[in-house]
Amino acid sequence: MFVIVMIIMAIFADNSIIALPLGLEVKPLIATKHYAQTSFRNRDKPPGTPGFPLGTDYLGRDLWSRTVYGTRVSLSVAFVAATVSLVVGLTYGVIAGFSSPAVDNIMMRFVDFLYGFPLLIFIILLQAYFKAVSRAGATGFMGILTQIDRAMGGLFFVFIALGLLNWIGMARLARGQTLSVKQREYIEAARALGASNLRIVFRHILPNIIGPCVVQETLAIPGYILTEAFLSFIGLGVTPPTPSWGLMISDTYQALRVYPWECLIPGAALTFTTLAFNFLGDGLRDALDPRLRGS
Amino acid sequence: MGKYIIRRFLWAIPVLLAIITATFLLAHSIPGGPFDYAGEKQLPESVRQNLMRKYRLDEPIYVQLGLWIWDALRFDFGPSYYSRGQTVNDILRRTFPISAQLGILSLLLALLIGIPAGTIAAVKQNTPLDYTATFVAILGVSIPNMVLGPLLIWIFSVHLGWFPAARWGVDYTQLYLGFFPPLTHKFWSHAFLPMITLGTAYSASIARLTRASLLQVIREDYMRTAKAKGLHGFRVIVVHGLRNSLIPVATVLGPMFAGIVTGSLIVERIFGIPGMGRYFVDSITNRDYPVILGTTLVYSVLLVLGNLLVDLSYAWLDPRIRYD
Repeated sequence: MFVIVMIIMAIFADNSIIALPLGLEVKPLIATKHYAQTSFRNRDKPPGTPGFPLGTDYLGRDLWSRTVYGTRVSLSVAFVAATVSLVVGLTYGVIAGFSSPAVDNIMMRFVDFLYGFPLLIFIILLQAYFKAVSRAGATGFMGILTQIDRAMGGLFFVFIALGLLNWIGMARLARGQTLSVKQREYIEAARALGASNLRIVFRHILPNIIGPCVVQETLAIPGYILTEAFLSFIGLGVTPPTPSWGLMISDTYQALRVYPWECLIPGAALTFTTLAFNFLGDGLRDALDPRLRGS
Repeated sequence: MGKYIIRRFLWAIPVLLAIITATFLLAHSIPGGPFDYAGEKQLPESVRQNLMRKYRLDEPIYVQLGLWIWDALRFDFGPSYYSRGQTVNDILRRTFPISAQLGILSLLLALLIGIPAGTIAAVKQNTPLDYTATFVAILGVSIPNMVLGPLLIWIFSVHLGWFPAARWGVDYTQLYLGFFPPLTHKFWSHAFLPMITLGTAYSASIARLTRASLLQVIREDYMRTAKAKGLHGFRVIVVHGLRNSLIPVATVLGPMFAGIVTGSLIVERIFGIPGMGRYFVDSITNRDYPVILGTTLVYSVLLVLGNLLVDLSYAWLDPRIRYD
C-alpha cells in the first residue's frame, strides 16, 4: 500500500521536476516579455489585463515573465549549490573516512568546529563583502570574479557563499558511510587482489555510498532555494532587476493590502518549487532506503 | 554528567572566540567604514579621521579586537556607530526580549502541534488520518515563511480583519521573567499571526520526524513486551514509545533553533516587529562593527547553549545514553 503511495509521490515529483526545467528550456516562448522591461502606463495592473496574464508590478513589469524567469534563478541555485556541496562534502568525507584514524580525527574535529558556527551570519557577511567589493570596483582576481558575477546578475556570489558553507553535513554523512563500508568483506577481497587505494575508493566505496548521499542532497535542495530567496529578500542576493522570487516578494509585501497578487504570485511559485523538491527527495529516499520500504 | 557539562562549556570558549575573531576580521575587511557618509553627504576627510580616532578605529586591527573582547568580558559591547547615543547594550536590551518572545512562542507552538500530530499519524498508520497529516506536514514544510506571512496577513488581516497586521511589542513596559509582557488579549492578537508564520514549518518537520521515528520504535521488542504486560495502548505509546522516538526530534531542535533566528528576521520584517533581526542585517550594511559583533555573540551563545541542551536531553530521553 505504502509503495503505491510512494510511486505516486515519486511520479508526481518527477513530473513537476521535469516540467520546471522544461519551462526553463522553452522560456523565450513562455515568457512573453523581458523580465526588466518596464511600462509606466501599466503599473500595478491586476491579473487578467490584456497582454499581462498575471498582472504587472509597481514598475509595470510583466509578473508572468518575471515569475517564469525567476524559475531559472531558483533552479540554478538549487543545482549548483547541491552539486558543489555534494562534490566537496563527498571528497572531504571519503578522504576522512578512508584515512588513518588520526587524520580522520583531525578532519572531523574541524568539521565539528565549523558545525558550531552561525553559518547564516557568515553567509550574510560574505555576501556583504562581495557586494561592497564589486561596487568599489576590484582588480585582479576579485575583479574577474565580479565581472562574472555581474554577467550572471549577482548569482555567482550567491553560489560561492552557499557552496562554501553547505558541504559540512554532507562531509559527515559521507565519512560515516565510508567507515561502515570500509569494513565489508568485498573491500578486503579487493585489497587481497592487489587493488590500489584509488581503485578501491572509486570502484568499490563510491558506488556503495553515493545513494544515501544523493538522497540527502536532494532533501537539502529546498533549503538552498530558500536561502537564496532569503538573501534576496534582505537585499543581499541577486542584483536587481534579476528576478528572484525572494526579491519580488520583498519588493511588494508592503503593498499587500492594495496589490496582493504582486507578492502572492512569486510566493506561490516558490512554494510549489520547494514542494516539488520535497516530494522528489521523499520519493527518492523511500525508493532507495530499504528500511522504510514495504511498511 | 557534571564533568561532561563543564567540558562542554570549556569547549565553547575557543569556539566563541573563533566565531568572534572570524566575524571581526570579515566585517572589517568589507570595504568602506562606518563614517564615510552622514546621511547622503560624504563626510570631510578630517572629520572622518577624528571620528575614527575617537572610536579607536585607527589602531591596528588586533588591538581593536583585543579591546572589544576585553570590554565584552565585562558585558560592555560598546557604542553603536550608526544609532548615535545608543550603546549596543541598549539596543540588545530593547530588542532581544521581543525576538525572544517570538522565538519561544513559535518553538512551543511547533512542539505542541508537531509531536501530537506525528504520534497520531504513526499510531494510525495508513489510515486517512495519517495521509491527511502527512500531506499537511509536507505542505507546511514547503511553504516558506516569507510566503506564509503575507498570505496570512492577506486572509486574516486584510479580508477578515480578525488580527492586526503589525505593531507587535510596541508599548509594553512591564516584562515578566525579562521576556513576557502581560499575556492579555491584546498581546495574543498581535502575536498570533507571526507565531503561526514562524512555527508552521517547524511543527510540520517535527511532525514528520516524530512519525518516522515512532514507526521504527513501535516495531521494537520492548514495545511488544509492554503490550504483553497488559499496559493500556495509550500508555505504551506515550511512555515507552514516544520518549525514545523523540531523539531525532531533539537532534534537529539544535539547527532549528538557529533557523528560528533566520526566520524571525523575515517575520519581523513582514509584520513590522521591532526585534533584534533588523540589526543583524542593518549593522552589516552600516559597518556598525560593535552591533555586528554584539548580535553575533548573542546568537552564537544561544546556539552553543541550544546544542548543549540538545545533547543533555538525549540522556533524559533515552536512559541508555550516558555521558562520562
